[in-house]
Amino acid sequence: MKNLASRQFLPLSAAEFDIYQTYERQRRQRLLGVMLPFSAILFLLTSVVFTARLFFTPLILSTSILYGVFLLMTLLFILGWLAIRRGRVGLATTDMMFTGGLGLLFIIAFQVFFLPPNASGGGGLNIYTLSEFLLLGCVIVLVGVLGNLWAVIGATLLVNALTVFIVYWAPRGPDLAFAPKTEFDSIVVAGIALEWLIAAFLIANWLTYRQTLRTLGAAYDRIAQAEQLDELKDQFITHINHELRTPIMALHGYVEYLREALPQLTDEELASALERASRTGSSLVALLSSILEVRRIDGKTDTYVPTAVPVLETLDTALTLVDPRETTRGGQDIRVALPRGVAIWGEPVRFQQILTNLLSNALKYSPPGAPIEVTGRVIALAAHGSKRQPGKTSRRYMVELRVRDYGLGIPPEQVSLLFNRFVRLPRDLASSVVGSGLGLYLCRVMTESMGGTIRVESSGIEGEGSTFVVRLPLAPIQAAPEPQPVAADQAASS
Amino acid sequence: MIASQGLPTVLIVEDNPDLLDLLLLSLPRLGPFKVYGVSDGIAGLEQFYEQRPQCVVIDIKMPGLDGYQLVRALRGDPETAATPLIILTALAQQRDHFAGLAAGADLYLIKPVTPQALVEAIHQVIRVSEAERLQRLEALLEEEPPEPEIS
Repeated sequence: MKNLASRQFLPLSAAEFDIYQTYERQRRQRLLGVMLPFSAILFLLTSVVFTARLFFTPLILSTSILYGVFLLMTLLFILGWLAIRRGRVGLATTDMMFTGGLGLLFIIAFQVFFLPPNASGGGGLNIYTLSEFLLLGCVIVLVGVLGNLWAVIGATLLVNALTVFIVYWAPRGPDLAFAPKTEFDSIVVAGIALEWLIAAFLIANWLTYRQTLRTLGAAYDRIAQAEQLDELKDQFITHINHELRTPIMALHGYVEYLREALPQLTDEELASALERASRTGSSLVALLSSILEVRRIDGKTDTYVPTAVPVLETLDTALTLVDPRETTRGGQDIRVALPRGVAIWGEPVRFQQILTNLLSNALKYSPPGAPIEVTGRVIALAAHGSKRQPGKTSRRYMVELRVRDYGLGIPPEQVSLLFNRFVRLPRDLASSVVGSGLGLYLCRVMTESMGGTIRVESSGIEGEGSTFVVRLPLAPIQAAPEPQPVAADQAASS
Repeated sequence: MIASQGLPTVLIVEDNPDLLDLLLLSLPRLGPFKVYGVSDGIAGLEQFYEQRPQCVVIDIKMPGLDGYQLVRALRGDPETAATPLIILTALAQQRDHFAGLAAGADLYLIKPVTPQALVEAIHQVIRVSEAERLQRLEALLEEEPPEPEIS
C-alpha cells in the first residue's frame, strides 16, 4: 500500500480497470440522474420565460439565435434524461458534458459579443454579464465531476482563454465605460486564479478517487489470488490423497501379508518381501518430503551466504541423486557440454536440488533411448543503470544452463502454469507418471531465491521435447578471463 | 511353490509397480489363487482373453485404457460379461464410486485394503456370481415357455 501514492499517474491494472469501470459507471449514473433532470427543468423554465417575453419585446436576429440555442439545449437535456433513465450512461455523460459545457460557453460568448448593448440581459461586458462569469466556474465543475484529470485541465485552459478574451476584447457596456484599465487586469487575474482554484479542488478529488480505486483494486486482486490458491490447495489435497493411497496400501499390505504368512515363509522370501516393503516405504517418504519442502520454503525468509558453486561437480552429484526408479526405462544418454571450471554464485544444496529435479523430470518424460542434453554458457545481461547513475548500464554475468529432453514436450497453453505450486498437467494426472506437482515450483522458488530465472521452451510436439533454461549469477572470478566453452562429453547410462 | 492347478485364476491390472509386486506375492499364498498381473488396461484385455480368469481386479487411473473403459469392454462382450470384476482404486469420492458401479463392476474397493481383505472380496464375488449364475439358470428352467400368440 505504501507505494500507491507514487502510482497515482500510472495506468490502471486490468483488475483496477474493471473496478474503475463498474464504480465509475455507478457513480456517473447517480450523478447524471440528478444533473440531467435538474438542467432539463431549469432550461425548460428559462425557455418558457423566454417565450413569454416574445409577447413584450420584438424578436431580432441575435435574440432569436439565443432563443434557438436555449430550446436546443432544453431538448438535448431532456434526451439525456431519457438516456440515463434507460441506463445509457456513456451517451448521457457525453450529452451532459457537451450540451452543458459548450452550451454555457456559447451563451456567454454570444451574449457578450453579439447581443446589442441595449438588448435586455446582455450586450457587451457589463455588470450583468460579469456576474455570468460564475457560469464559467460551473463549466469547470461540470467537466471535473464527469471527466478525468486531463478534461479538467483542458476545460480550465479553455475557460481561461475565454475569460481573457471577453475582458479585453468584448465591447463594454455604458456602466463599465469609465472603469480604469487596472480594474480589468484585476478581473482577469482574479478570474483565472479562481478558475484554477476550482480546478485544483477537482483534480485533488479525482486523484483521491483514483487512489481509492487502486486500493480497492489491490484488495480485489489479493482476494482473487487467495481464492485461486485456496482452490489449488483443495485440488492438491485431493491429489495427494490419491497419490498416497496406493503406496500406503502397498506398505500396509506388506506388513499385513508378513503377519499373515510369516510362519510359512522361507528366509529368502522373507528377505525379499522386506526389501520390497522398504522400497515402497522410501518412495512414500520421498513424496512426503517434497510436500514438507514446500511448506519449509513457503514459511522461510531467505537468508544464506552465497558461495561459488561449481556447475560440473554439482551436476555429477545431482545425477547420482536422481531416483533410480525414475530411470528404469533405461538407456538414456546424458550429454553434457559445459564451460570448464564455471561456477554459479549461490547456495550449493539448492542448486543441486534444482538440477536433480530438472534431470529427473527429463528422464521421466523421455522415451527409452532418447538422449538428454545439458549445456551451459556464460552470458552477459545488460542491467539498467541505477538512479544515481542513469544511463550508465552495467553488465551482469549469468550462467545459463539448458536441460533438453526429447520427450513428450509441454503444450504451449500449459507452459504458463508449469512453475506454479500444485500444478500437474492434465495428461499426467491421467497417466502413470508419478509426481506431486511440486518439483518445478520448488525449482522456480529456489532459482529466484538465488537471483536467477527459470523458463521452459517447448513446441508441445511429442518427440521434440522441452528445454528448461535456468539462469543463475556467475560466481565472481578474480582477474580471470571469461571461460571458454569446452565440450566435455559424459555418457551416463542409467 | 504353491501348486496352482485347479485354483481360481485372478488377473490384476494395476499400474503401481510396488502394489502389483505385493499382490503378485501375497494373493497366491493367501487366496490361494493363480495370479497374473499387468500394468495397463490394454495388456489387461489381452491377458484376459489369454487366461480367462475367474476374477479381475482393476485399478482406475492407468495409462492407455483406464479402469472404467476396461470394465465396460469386458461387460460389453457377452462372452466375458459374467466375469466378476473388482475395482481397486485410490479414487475415494462418492461420484467415482457410482461411476465404477455404473460401469458394471461387482465391487468397488477404495485403497488402502489389506491383502487379506482383497482375498476375501475375491472369494465373495466368485461365490456370489456362481450362486447367481445357478439361480439364473434355474429361473430359466422353471420359466414356462410363452404361449404362442395367434394372430
